[in-house]
Amino acid sequence: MHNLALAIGIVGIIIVGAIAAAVVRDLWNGKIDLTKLLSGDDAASLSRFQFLIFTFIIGLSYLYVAVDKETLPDVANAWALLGISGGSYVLGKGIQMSADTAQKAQDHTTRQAEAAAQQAQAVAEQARLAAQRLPPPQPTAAPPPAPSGQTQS
Amino acid sequence: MSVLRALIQVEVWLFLGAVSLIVLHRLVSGGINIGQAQLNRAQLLLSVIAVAAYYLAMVISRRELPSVPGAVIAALGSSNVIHLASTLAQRWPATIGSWKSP
Repeated sequence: MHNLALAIGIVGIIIVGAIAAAVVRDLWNGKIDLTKLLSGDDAASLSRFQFLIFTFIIGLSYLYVAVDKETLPDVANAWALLGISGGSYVLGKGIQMSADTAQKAQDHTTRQAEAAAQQAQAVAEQARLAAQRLPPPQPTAAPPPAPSGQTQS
Repeated sequence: MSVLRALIQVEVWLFLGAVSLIVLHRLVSGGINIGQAQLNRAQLLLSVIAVAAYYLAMVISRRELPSVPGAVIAALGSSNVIHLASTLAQRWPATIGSWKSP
């Protein structure tokens, strides 16, 4: 039983270590973009970065305590950190998505207004051309002059 | 089991240390744009690394998942609240517009 626990612990360490190594490698290569981590941009989310760090720290701490005590530890005390980082990530994502949705709606409205303006311009041009093709208006005949001897009553 | 404990300890400190060193290296070499850095984001980044290191030290010294002190939670929570409030303030018109639209 002791050997099984040891083997499971080793497998756990290898899996988490491989994921951590991949994350560190991507951070180093620039695949995980940190350029705008402090200047505020969608590409580098600080909330996501925070969530990543706490997930690894608490995951590895859990593994550490489980290996040490040879039993599953109580995680109730770690919820606060995960809750804060996870909640911040979710709220940040919600704000970002709301803003993106509003921006898309605004872009759509602008495009629709531009299309309507272009259509109205085309109709006006057609009307102008049609007016040019019409024959010039004939002068209307003047009403006959009233007889000179008659007086109006 | 003591070997496993030592391995995990090395692994977790290596991870946190490597991430911190990469961030520091990028800050020094200009890989992270600090020209337009926002104070609230810098504060949150420092809080996260400090709290993570603190928690890790507590876990290793007590050999259990300890409860986080209220002051630490308050510090981290307020940093997050400030960061979120700042993000919301930057995108306020667009966000409110999306809430109003059906």
